[in-house]
Amino acid sequence: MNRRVLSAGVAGLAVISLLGLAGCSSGGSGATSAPSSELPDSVNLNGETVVSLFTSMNNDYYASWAQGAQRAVEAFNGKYVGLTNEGDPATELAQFQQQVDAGAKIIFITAPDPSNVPAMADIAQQNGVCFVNTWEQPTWTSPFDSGDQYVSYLTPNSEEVAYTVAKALFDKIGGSGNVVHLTGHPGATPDQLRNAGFDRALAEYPDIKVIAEQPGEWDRDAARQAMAGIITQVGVDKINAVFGQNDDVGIGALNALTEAGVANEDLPPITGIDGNLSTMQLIKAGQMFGSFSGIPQFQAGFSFVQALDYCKGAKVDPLNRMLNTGGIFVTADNVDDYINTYTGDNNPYDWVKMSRVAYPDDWDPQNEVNTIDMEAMWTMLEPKPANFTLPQAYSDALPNRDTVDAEWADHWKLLKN
Amino acid sequence: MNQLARPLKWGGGILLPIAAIIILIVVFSLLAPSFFQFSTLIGILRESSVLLVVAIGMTFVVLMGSIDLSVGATVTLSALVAATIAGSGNWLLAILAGLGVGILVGLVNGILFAFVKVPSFLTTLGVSLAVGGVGLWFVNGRPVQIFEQGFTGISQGKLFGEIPLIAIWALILWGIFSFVGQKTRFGRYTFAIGGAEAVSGLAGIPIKRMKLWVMVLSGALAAAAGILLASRVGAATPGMGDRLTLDSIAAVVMGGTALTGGVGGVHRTILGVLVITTLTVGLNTLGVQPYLQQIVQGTVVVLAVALTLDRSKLSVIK
Repeated sequence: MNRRVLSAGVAGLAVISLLGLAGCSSGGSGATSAPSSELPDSVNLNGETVVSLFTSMNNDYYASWAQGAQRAVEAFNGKYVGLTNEGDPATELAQFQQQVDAGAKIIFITAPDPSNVPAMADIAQQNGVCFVNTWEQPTWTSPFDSGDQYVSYLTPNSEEVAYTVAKALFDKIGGSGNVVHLTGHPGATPDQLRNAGFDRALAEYPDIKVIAEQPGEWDRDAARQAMAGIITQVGVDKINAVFGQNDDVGIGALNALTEAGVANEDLPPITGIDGNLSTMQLIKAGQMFGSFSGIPQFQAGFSFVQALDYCKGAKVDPLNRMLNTGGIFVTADNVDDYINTYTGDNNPYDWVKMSRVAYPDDWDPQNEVNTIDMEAMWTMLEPKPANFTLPQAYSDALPNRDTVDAEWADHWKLLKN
Repeated sequence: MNQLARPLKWGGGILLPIAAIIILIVVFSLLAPSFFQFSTLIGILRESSVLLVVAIGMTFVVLMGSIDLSVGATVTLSALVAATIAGSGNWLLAILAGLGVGILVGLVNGILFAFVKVPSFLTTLGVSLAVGGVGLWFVNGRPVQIFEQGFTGISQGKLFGEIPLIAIWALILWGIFSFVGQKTRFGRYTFAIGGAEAVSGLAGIPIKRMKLWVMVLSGALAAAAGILLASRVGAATPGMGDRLTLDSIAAVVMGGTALTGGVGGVHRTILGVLVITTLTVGLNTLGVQPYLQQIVQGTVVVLAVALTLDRSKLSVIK
């Protein structure tokens, strides 16, 4: 019995030590601070915990997301907590509930797929949590369905992005040839929208032929395996270009081509979407053609500021509850500028200046932001359900869409070029 | 037959898992005052529920000295089927269909294991891959949203305004199958087979039939867990049950059921579930970085098993 008590005590001490280490480590250390506007008391979080939930740190995109999230939260004197769900919506939902139970009032997320978003929004509404969501949303639904606490849904205009990238890729090979399309995770909102954009571009190039289309699951290894199968199926000489639905998918395709013995100078042009540092380095080395960056650091920080502003009393225009955010198409021509501005320890954003509450007259989004035409976006994915009607507040505000978009454009000063 | 393998008595061997839970609660409460509140208890109950239901079925399999690696895939497929049928508005049919999927998977496992005599590890591993593929094919890899409130209310409803219904269902199932494990012939046969299969056969226990029914039970409970999970999230997604396979095995072992069989019981599994869930909830409450969470969880699992395993009942450690 004494030995068992001693064993239990040793175990308890070990656990306490580990948790003490964990307690010291939670939040982590921030990067080098960039010059920032003065922090008014109206938005000073005074150490309040702010939570970001996202998929995984195994992905370069989310590493940048986490970096931006932490910088933005700490710029407002908040305590940043970031949790990953490894692609499991149920885990993310559980984390959301646990953080609400622990007292968090500002939570900004990106979900692995749309399935758990309504449940999280309901929890936010019931508990007075200011909630902003980026990327995933069930089709023909919106924040209006859940209540005011679901402040905004943000996403790059994935259809337009894919259209732009695909056209650039098709032009790169002279408007004719065979293209491999490696998609993302089936069912994910950006995957469906990017497919729509790719297809729109394809329709404009009758001499471009898609010789294979396989899911890349947003994952480098899954994409590599899919591409290896395609190479076996059609032969590497038949492939003139590769459209990767995100950067990891593009890199997976590159890995497969390299493993198949294709020399760097013979590689077909490959594109990605995300703007990860590793992709930028491959573009610089000439192994990839280009990538559209949604600037994940910006996406995280901007989504946090929207939630913060609402919590601090800002009124949100109905049209600003669904927003597209802009990005940059990076090729060899501008990759050095991109790397030196947006990656690694570079922190180009004045996060406090993004806040409408902190700077009501001269707030600055520091990126292109536009309101979303809800019907137009969802129609690209699915036919409109028979019983669907636009939310009344959104519908009433629609005539002002140009005005609201102009306001975003007029306030954008920093990083405009 | 009573001498072949006696299940543990209620009072013995459960103090250390309880101590582990208490230590975790104390430590987390000291590190994060917001942890020690009623809503955290509710949260732990809610988050434990799905794992507990899966672990109940796994306990019976492990007690027999076998393993079921297909529970995660069964959870997912049952959830996907139930969610799809719930879209028609008939939540009762959705539940029955989901359960039917689990029973069918269990039957396949049981027949292959008991009658074709493929070892349970290989049987359930292969079935897991196949069932996972069926799930992806069934929904074309896409999540299925659930809007039918009769279905979502199964898990999302509350009793007395606070107690999550999902926890009530899990506790009811735990109570029923704890009784089955301890007080019925079915339960005693499971222990006996795990303790000494050959001798049990000679004593007249229908080994093949027992293996079949235990696998069916495991599949059915995995399906029940899938229905509860889909109801809780409000959707079913491919792969949503994947993590439950290893988690349920860990919970069963941490609760004191030996992987070699014949030792432990369903009544103890709840303790293993609570250790895992309390740890996860606590680490999330502290906001511990994801990588560090895995280190802590792995360490605690090993420590908890090392302390709670009743080695006097094991002649061989593998």
